[in-house]
Amino acid sequence: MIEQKEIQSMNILMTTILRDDGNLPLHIAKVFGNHTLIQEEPMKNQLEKGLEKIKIPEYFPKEDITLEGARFITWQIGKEKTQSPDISLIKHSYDNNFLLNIIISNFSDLDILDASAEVAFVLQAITGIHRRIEIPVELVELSDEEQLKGLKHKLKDLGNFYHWQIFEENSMRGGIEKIGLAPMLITALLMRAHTMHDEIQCIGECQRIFNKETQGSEIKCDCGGELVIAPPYLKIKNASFVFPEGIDEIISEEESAPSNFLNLILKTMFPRKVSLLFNQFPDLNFSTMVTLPSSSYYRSISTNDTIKITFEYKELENDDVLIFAFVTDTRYYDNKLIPATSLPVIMRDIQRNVRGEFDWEAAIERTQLGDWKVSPFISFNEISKYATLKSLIPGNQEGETIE
Amino acid sequence: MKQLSDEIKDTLDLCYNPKDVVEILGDFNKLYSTLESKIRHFVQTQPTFLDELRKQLKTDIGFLSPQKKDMALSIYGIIITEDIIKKYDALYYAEDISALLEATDKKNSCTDDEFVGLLASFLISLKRVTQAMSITIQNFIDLSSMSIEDEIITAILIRRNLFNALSEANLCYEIGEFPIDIRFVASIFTHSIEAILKDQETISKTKSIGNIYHDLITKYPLSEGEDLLYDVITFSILEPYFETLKESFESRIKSKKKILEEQITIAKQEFQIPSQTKQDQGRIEQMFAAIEQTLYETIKFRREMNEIRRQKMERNIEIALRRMAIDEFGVQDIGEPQKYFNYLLDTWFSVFEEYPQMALPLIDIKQYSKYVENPDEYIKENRSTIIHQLQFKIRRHTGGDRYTPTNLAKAFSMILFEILTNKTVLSLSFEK
Repeated sequence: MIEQKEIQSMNILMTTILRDDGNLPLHIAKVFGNHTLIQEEPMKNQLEKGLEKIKIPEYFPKEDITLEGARFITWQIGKEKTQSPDISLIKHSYDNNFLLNIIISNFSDLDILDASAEVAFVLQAITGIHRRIEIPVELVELSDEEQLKGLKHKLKDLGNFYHWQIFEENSMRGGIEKIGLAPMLITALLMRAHTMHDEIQCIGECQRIFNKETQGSEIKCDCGGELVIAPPYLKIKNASFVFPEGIDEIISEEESAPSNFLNLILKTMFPRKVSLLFNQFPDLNFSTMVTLPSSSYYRSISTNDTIKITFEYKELENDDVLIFAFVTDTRYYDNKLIPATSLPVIMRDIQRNVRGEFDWEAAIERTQLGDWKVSPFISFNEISKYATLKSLIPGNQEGETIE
Repeated sequence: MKQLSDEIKDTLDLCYNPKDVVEILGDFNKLYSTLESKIRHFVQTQPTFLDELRKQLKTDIGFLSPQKKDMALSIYGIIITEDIIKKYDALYYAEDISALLEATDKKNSCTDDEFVGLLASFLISLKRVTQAMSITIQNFIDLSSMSIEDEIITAILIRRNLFNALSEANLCYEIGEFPIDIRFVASIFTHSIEAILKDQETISKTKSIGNIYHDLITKYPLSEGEDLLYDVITFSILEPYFETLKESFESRIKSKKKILEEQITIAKQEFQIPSQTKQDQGRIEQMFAAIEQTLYETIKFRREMNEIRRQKMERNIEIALRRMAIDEFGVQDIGEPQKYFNYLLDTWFSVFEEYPQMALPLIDIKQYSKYVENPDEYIKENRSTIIHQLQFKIRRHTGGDRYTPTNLAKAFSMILFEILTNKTVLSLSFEK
C-alpha cells in the first residue's frame, strides 16, 4: 500500500451531453487523483473549465470502426531520458452522449479493455441520470444550472469510484489482455516521422495557434494573451507497408486501402486540443513532451471485433523517429495471416535489426514475416493515391491507382 | 442470514454473482409448469382457507375477475403452505399483485395463462431479490469493517452487487416476456431492505411492494431503459437507506472490524517468518546447482556459450525436476504439470538476485533506464511482468504442449542459452 501513495495520478473524465429541441449541449469535466497540479482547488477548477471547453463529440466520428482506447508513452525532447508519465485514453458514446477519459500517471499497466468497461458504465449511468432529471417531477423543472450541478455531483461520485478501483484497489491493472477470439496480424507499417516543434499557442483569450517562423519573437498575442511554445507533435513523412500476398482477397477492398491503415494510426494520436490545454499548466511539462501511442484498440460496432495496433519506436538523429505499427484484427482468419501471439517475437526481432529505413526490408526477411510483401517507402501525401495495399508493390500498380 | 465470515476478503470478492438466463429460465419453467396443477389441487382441497382469504381481501382484490381471484388466492396459499416466502402478509400480497399488474400493463387485459406466468415471474424475482439482498448486506458489513470510505462502499454495493441483482430480477420478467416497469423491480429491493431492517428491529413496520411502487412513481418519472439501473438503485435504494443500514448493523460491523484487525496482526506476524519453507529453499538450491556452473563461467569468465554446454544444462535441469517431483509426490510424472513450472520460477528469481543482467531480455525495453539504475528494485516491482514474459517464452519453446520435465528442461535451457548469448546481457555487469 505504501508504494501506491507514491504514484502520481491525474484521472480526467469529460463528458458532453447533446440535447434535443435546440438546447445547448452540457459539458462536464471532473479531475481526480493526487497530481501536484490538482492539489489546489483553484488550479483544479481552471483545468476542469478548460476541459469543458473542448468539444469532444468531434472525436466520435460516426464510423463502424471506432477508437475505444489507447495507451501513450511520453518523453521530453532535447532532454536526457528520465521518467516521463504514461497516458491512457478511453472513449465511449451512448446515444448522444460522449465521454473521454484520460489518465496521466507514472504507471503503465492499466488494462485498457477492463477500464473501458467501467468508463462505459459511467457514461451509461450519466445518461440515465440526465434522462431522469430532464423531466419535471411534481411540476418542478430543473434549470440548466441545476441539471449541470446534479450531473457534476454524480460524475464526481462515479469518477471517484473509477479512480479508486485503479489506484487503490489495483483492479484493472496488469494481467493478460483478454481480446476475444484469435487476433491475427494483418499488416505492419514502418513510418518515418519528424518531431515538429514549430507552433506557438496563445494561452490568453483567443487560444490561437501560430507558426514559430511567422510570429517571430513576439511574446504577446494581438488579443493580449501570452504566447508560449506549443507541445511537439509528429509529422509522418513516409511509410512502408508489410502484408501477406493475397491480402486483398482476405480483407475488403475498402479496408485494404493504405490510407485506411494510416487513418487508424492518425486517429490514435493524442487529441491535440487536450495537449494544447495541458500545455497551459507548466506543472504538466507538456511544452517539450512528445506523446506517442504504444497501443490502441478499435472496436467494430457492428461485429464487436477488436482491432489492435501495437507501436514501437526508434529515435533517429535530428528529431526523426521511426514508428513501427502492427495491426492485429479479430475479424479475419486465414492461413496467410500470422497469429498475434507471435507479435512480441516479431517486434523484438525487427526492433533489434532496424536502424533506419534501409534495413527494413532485410529485417522483415529475417522474421516470421519473411514471405510477406514489403512496399517501398511512399511519401505521406502520395499514400491516398493508392487504392489497395497490393498496388503499393511496383509492377502491381497498373490500372489500380486512383487518379 | 449467513454467519459472520471470518476470513480476510478482497474487495473484489464482495460482489453478487447473479444467476444467468439459462438458470432463471429453468427456475421459471419449473415453477410455471407445476403452478397450474398446484392451483387446481389447492382449490379442491382447501376451500375453507380460500373462502376466509376471499372475505379478508374482498375489496383489495376486487379488481380481479372471479377466476383470477381463485388463482391469486391459491397461489398465496401455496406460498404460505410451502414456505416459499416467509412472513408474507395477505394484504401486502394483494397490494403487490395489483401493482404488479399495473407495472406490466396487464391490469386491463390478462389471459389466465399470462396471469399464472406473471405470478411465477414475480415469485422467482422475490426469491432472487431476497437472496441477493442477503448477500449484499453481508458484503456491506464486510466492506464497512475494512475502513473504506462510505462513498466507495456505496459505489461497490451499486456497481458490483445491486446492479447485477436488479438486472437479474428484471430478467425474471423478461424470460416470461413481460416488459416491466423498472420502478416495480426496484420496489422489491426496497421492500427487501425494509424487511431486513425490521428483522433487526431498526424499523417497526415495512411497506408493501405495491405501496413502495406507488410512492416511487410520483417521485421518479421514468420506467424503462438499461441506462436507468444505476440511477434508480441510487435513488430508491441506497440514498434513502444507507445511513439506516449503517446504524442498524453498527455492532456487527464493529465486531467484524475487531476480528479483521486481529487477523491482520496475525497475518503480519506470519509474513515476517521467511515465506520460503525449507523445502522450497532446497529446491531452489538444487535447481541453481544444475545451472550455476554454466552461468558463472559464461558471465564471469566470458567462456563462450555453445550447444554442448546448453545440452549439459538441459540434462541437469531435467534430472533436478524429476528429483523434485519424486521428493514431493513420490513419482516422476506428476498430475499437475504447472508444479514443474513453479519449481523453475523461484529459481529464476534467485538467478536474477545473483545476476540481474539475466533479466534484461525479459523486461519492457522502454523501462531500460529504470532497470539499469536499480535492477534489483526493478525486478522486484515488475515480478509479475517478468513472470508473464517467461511463461510466454517457455510456452513458445514447449510449443504449447503440456509441461513435462523433458520439454521444460529444454525450454529453460534454450532461454538461458538465448540470454547468455545476448551481447547486451554480457556487456552489463552489476558489481555486488
